[in-house]
Amino acid sequence: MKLTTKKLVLTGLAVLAMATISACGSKTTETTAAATEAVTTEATTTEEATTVEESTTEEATTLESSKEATTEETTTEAAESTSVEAETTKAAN
Amino acid sequence: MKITYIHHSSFFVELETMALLFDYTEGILPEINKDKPLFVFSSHRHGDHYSPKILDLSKKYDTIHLVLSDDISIKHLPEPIANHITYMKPGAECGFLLREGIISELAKEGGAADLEVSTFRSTDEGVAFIIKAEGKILYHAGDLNNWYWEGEPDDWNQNMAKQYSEEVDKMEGIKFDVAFLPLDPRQENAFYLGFHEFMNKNQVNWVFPMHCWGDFSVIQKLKNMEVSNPYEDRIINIKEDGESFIIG
Repeated sequence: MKLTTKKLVLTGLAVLAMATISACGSKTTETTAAATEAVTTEATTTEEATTVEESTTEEATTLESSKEATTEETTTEAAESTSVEAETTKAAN
Repeated sequence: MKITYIHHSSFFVELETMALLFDYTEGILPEINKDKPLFVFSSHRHGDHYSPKILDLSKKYDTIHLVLSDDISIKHLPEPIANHITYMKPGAECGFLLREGIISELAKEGGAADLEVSTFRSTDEGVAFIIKAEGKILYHAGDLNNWYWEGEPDDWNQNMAKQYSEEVDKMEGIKFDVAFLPLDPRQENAFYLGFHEFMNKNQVNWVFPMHCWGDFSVIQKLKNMEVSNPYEDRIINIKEDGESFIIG
């Protein structure tokens, strides 16, 4: 199916021929479940699976909000753009 | 309220009395007071919205509770976290109390809660969340979106649009302080449809685009479109992972 091919290319997935995709272009129920199990096993059997780290920067953009969401009066005052250390690994599902 | 964009559809929200983490899969979390209660939400099981890594957060944070879509199946659940998970199906509600460093789930109709959660049915899998806490209302869409795809049959796309509209219409009258909405460049010319419909129908003070697959140019692309004129100033222009915003 044309669209299926397109979505798979866009998401960079290598999926078996019989696999289908979800509405958002994510993996099938079957493949997702399999992947989850694999990661879960890894997470529960090794300490290295915990990869949550703490950032060291405190800078933030301050936004002053108008309470009237229905109007166009809300202002965005960007103090300074942040430069926070962060991982930039592309997600792939 | 401080909001940090973590990665893809993941955000970390710091309130006065609690912190909220949405759809974490990877990336660096801000440092917070470990005694502050942490609620972790996962909208569905797809790998770009849920990771078993969140189970390990209980090793780091003393007071934690996971609110998971009921399509997420966890095998080999670690003992410390097993009693701190609430599964939610679409169209459900639950509430939590915070007392002396302990999170307790309220029974149905159990009175006023410190944090209230309601769910909506995703047009993909799982749920979208509405969170009420400290007088604020937040919405995280998960994969609830108008997934219009060029090349799909017209009736498929029409049905998708109908399902999305039905869910969004259920939120009529709610005034959102913050919304996290998909803005997916893979949808090409249809990338803004779900986002625009939500903003057009609801009152939202600030909206954070997500599910951009690292291509944040879609945010400015939408801001440049005439259709977004009524709300373009309320769209947060995320530029990179780890960026933080303080909502006044």
